Amino acid sequence: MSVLTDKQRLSWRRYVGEGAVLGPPLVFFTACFILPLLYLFVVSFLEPSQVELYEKQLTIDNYGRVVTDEFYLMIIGRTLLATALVLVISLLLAYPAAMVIARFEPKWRIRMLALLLFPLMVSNVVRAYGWISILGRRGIANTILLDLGFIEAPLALLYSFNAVVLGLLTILLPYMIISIANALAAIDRSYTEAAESLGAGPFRTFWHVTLPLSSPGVASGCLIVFFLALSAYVTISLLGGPRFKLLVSLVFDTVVTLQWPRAAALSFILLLLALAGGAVILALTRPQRVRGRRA
Amino acid sequence: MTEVDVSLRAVRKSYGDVVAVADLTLDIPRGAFFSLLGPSGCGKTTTLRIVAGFARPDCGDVLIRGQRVTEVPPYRRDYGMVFQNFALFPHMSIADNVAFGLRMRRVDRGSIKRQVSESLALVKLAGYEHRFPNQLSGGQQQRVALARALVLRPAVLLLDEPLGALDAKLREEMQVEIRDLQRQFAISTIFVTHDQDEALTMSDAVAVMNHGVIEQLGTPREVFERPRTEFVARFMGAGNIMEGRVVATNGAVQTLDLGAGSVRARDSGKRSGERVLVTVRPENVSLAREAGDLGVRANVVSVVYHGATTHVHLVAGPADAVMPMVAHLPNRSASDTEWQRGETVYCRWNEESTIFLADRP
Repeated sequence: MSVLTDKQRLSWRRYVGEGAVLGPPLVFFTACFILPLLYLFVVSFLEPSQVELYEKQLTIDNYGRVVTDEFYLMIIGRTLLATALVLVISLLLAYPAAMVIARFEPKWRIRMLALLLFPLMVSNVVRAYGWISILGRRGIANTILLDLGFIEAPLALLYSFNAVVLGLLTILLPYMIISIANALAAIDRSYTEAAESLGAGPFRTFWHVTLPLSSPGVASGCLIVFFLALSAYVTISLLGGPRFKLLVSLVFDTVVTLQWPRAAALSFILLLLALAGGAVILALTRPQRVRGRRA
Repeated sequence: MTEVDVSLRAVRKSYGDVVAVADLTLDIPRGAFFSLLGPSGCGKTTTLRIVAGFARPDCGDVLIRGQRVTEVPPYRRDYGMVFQNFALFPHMSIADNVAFGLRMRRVDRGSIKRQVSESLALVKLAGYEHRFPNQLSGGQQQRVALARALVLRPAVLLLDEPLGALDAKLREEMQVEIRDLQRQFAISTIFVTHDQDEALTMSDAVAVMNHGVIEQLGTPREVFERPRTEFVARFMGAGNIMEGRVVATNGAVQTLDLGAGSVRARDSGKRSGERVLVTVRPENVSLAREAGDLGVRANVVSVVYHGATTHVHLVAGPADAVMPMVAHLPNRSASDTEWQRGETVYCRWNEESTIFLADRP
């Protein structure tokens, strides 16, 4: 007992206490996410097999095929384009809306943000089918346009780039608005007043003060929207259909055709895109500057 | 006539049913350090925000250097402001913070660099250009905020409780520093505070505000020693408010009957029999155990030792009209009388110490 000082005993006890709290989620996370991910990483470097999950033979072919095959490259390009578009449109739509919401008193602001969460309570499947009933060949949009005589034959609105972007936007826009509105509401009035007192008009106050100070909200909104857009499956497969596939659809297709190593490789490419996209978002928004740190 | 840097003409501002500023008229002469003093909600901050252009008066006019700016937006008015939380831009370096106003005025780069280092040197922060606000202490942030406001050489400096965020010791240092800078620049300054010490030590003139009106405007000495209303007297710490009537006038000296005893006062112009409201500063009150012709009879409620002084809290008067009183007695030596709770004493002060207040409305 005398080997330990009181202070050491105390800190040792604290470690045990913290371990007891952090332990279970840590074990769960490691066992159910980190380890399978490592396993998947290994599998992505193994030969496919006709009878087993994989052949115990190392190869980089799974990745090689993806980066040389034009079809895969086209899908990757299309995935990046669609998510980037969703990101940009949601940012442009959300920022002005968030500015309006942020100006309300806290009581009303919270109510409006809660209202924004309502659509999220409806399942993605239900919402995708909602869009199908609007955009389908005999959907509401085509029926109205036909009846009004604007078009002769139904338009192919569904199963297209536009349908997927539209579907993703309706799901993801609230996340963007909520995170930006919260960031804007947290900016003390005195910062913008200080800018005005120093001769900055409304536009320059926004550009030099409000916009940079809202960067944590912009960053978190962009990250959430980007990651969710990249990994949304239901919306993409129901609104994109067989004609308009993105990277997630390919992962799914590859899995159901039992090409496990290829599916693993595609998954890691998806993960890589997510990480790279996240890094680009952070580099552009620089949320750390609000804490007074250099970029 | 001295030049006036800021003028308010019959300015009024209400928020809903609450009148924040009521028909305020005010002139601040060039180079004056002018304090708006009062409790929270008295309208002092609203007045400052009206000068700054952040609040728009319902009626009345605001003039800066003789120019009517009532409808001019804040960014086209000629003033510098220091905010209560300093409001330094956290995403900009100290140099960029100070340079902000110059950049907005499209001053050329070389000149900006020179003026920024001059300003920082003036507030003793040379070499801090590349730090960020969160790396500075409260006092240093305060100085940056001053440098940022002063670098533009504005017509007027607005200070919104700038010392509120600092601890007591630093606050005293900054009081001196702000006053020195203000004198050096000879810049007209409006200082908003709820702290009477700050207002008294720093100002050329103090306006004591209550419910949107200026109760008294004068030099620190006038406001402190000659409060004109019960509110000002209480706010300046003279809590001994007493009602009575004039009983005799003998040359320049009057005798007042306060119910619990008689005191003398300098002639107020009030006639015998007239009701009066008076006060006396606690430090001017002395206590005695022996009754005499003069003196207010009171009972000791509590005795609190304050180092240099001892505060004796008392009640005087009949049960249906008790007057709470307080005396601050200097602690000079161990032989000072020890006052006991519950004992009956007589409060006395000389005639100059009796201050007549405006009647209660």
